[in-house]
Amino acid sequence: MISLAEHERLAASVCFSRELDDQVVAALADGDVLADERWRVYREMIRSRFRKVVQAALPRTTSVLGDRFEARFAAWLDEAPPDTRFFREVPVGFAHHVEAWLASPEAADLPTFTADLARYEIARWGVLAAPDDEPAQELSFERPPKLTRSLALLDVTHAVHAKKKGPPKAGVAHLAIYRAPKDDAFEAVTLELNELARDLLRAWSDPSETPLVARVQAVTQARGTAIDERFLEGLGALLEDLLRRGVVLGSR
Amino acid sequence: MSPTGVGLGLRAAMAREFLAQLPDEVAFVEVHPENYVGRGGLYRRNLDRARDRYPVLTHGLTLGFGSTEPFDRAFLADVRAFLDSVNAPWHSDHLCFGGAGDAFVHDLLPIPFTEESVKTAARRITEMRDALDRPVAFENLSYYVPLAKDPLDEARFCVEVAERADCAIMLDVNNVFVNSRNFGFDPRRWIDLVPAHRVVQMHVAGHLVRPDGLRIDTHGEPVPDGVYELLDYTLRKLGPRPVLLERDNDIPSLDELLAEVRRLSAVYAAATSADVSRPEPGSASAFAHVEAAK
Repeated sequence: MISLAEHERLAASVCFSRELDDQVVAALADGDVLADERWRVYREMIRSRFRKVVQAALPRTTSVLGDRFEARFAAWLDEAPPDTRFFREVPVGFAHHVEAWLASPEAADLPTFTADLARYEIARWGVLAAPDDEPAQELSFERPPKLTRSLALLDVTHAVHAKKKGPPKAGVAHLAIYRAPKDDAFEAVTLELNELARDLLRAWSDPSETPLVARVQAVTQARGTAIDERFLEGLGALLEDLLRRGVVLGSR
Repeated sequence: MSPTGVGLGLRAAMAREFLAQLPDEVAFVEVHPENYVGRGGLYRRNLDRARDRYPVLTHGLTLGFGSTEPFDRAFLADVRAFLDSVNAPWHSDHLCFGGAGDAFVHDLLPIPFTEESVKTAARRITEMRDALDRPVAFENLSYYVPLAKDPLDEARFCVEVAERADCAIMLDVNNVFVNSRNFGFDPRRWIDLVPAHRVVQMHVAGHLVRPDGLRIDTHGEPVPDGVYELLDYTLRKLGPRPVLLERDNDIPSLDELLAEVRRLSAVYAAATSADVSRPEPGSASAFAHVEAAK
């Protein structure tokens, strides 16, 4: 009789391996024909659940993968099976796997926007489940800013966020994705930022204790942007909008 | 405080309608900590609303007692904080394993009914009880792989784990029923082997019958008559315990769910009002925690 640890290792192998190894199933089933058959049932059930949640999180990406999805799905489970206990995070692993694979020659014929699409879809999936925010203090330039924990900043080279039908057009875009209440639920909202706003939000997202004013100065210095009346007007409008949206919550 | 009566699993697909109505038929709700730890948004808001109205019981999905992997201590600490936040009187998880190494199968895989499995489960239950600082119960599994010549060995295995760990049992009546049909035994004989004083809660659900006859515990069908009958038998035998209706897939309208809750409540009322002498839950030393929590 095999040890409990070996039982578990073999069962995981039955569930995750790309090609089912009859010898592994036989070892697990200890020669019992019915057990052999039933371990295969587990394999199908488990893979079916993973497939469903991946397709729910990444509907457009899996659609672009088309008939190559199944091979990618099988490769992912074989090479990097889910290492999270949170079922909601399972698709993140698949998205990372696809993103890495898209850089390989094997994926050269897939549309160039596919990696952006996977990153965009998984970011939207993630913000919906992000932890809630703690209360913030009133915004002060002398204190570090506090941003919503649901914020995801993403640079893309195709307009995967555009609501137009058809393939996303090429073009760099800087996106801020966050969770907002809608009716009796929540939705993931995408903002398109200019470069300056992207740099500011990135600087404000840093968990350090640097006050807001120093962060603004660092960004303007790095970009060679003058802090003049026009800039201050724009900064005020940006902060007002982000405070209204709950992206900037106040100060820490 | 331990609830009585029939409760409902709080699931995202039915939460909106459920929380708008807050139906009186439902005595408590049950939630999976894995769906809430580290998560905000809709799940958290739904839980907060439910908690204002109903007692909350907790049931885990990924800390299987049959696993040979060490517990993730950080996650256990998160679970404890979560249980404290909802005043969970106990916590249950499954007598199974859910992966190997770092990999999670996100399903409940069966362990062999061996001495090694008993020792492993008893050790983990004790460890979890210490970490969570409250009673811990294990749920008997529905499983599809034959693991013993005598299918009642599963019941004996469960009893041995409960005795060795001095812990509670979260008795899944549907699982006993499913196993009885898949492996050909009388489910009432299984129930007869369970020490009444160890059972703190019960689960019922529906299951799928495949064309080849194999029954799969999907929680995606209405509760079948056979499960109602076995619940009636179990409640008469063991006495009143909170009964949870689990529905996780193909969730129907709230009206349909509540109709099932009402039918279960009728079974509950009839079975627990019977003039039968039964052992009280918590009468064994193992349940000092339960008594203190009441």
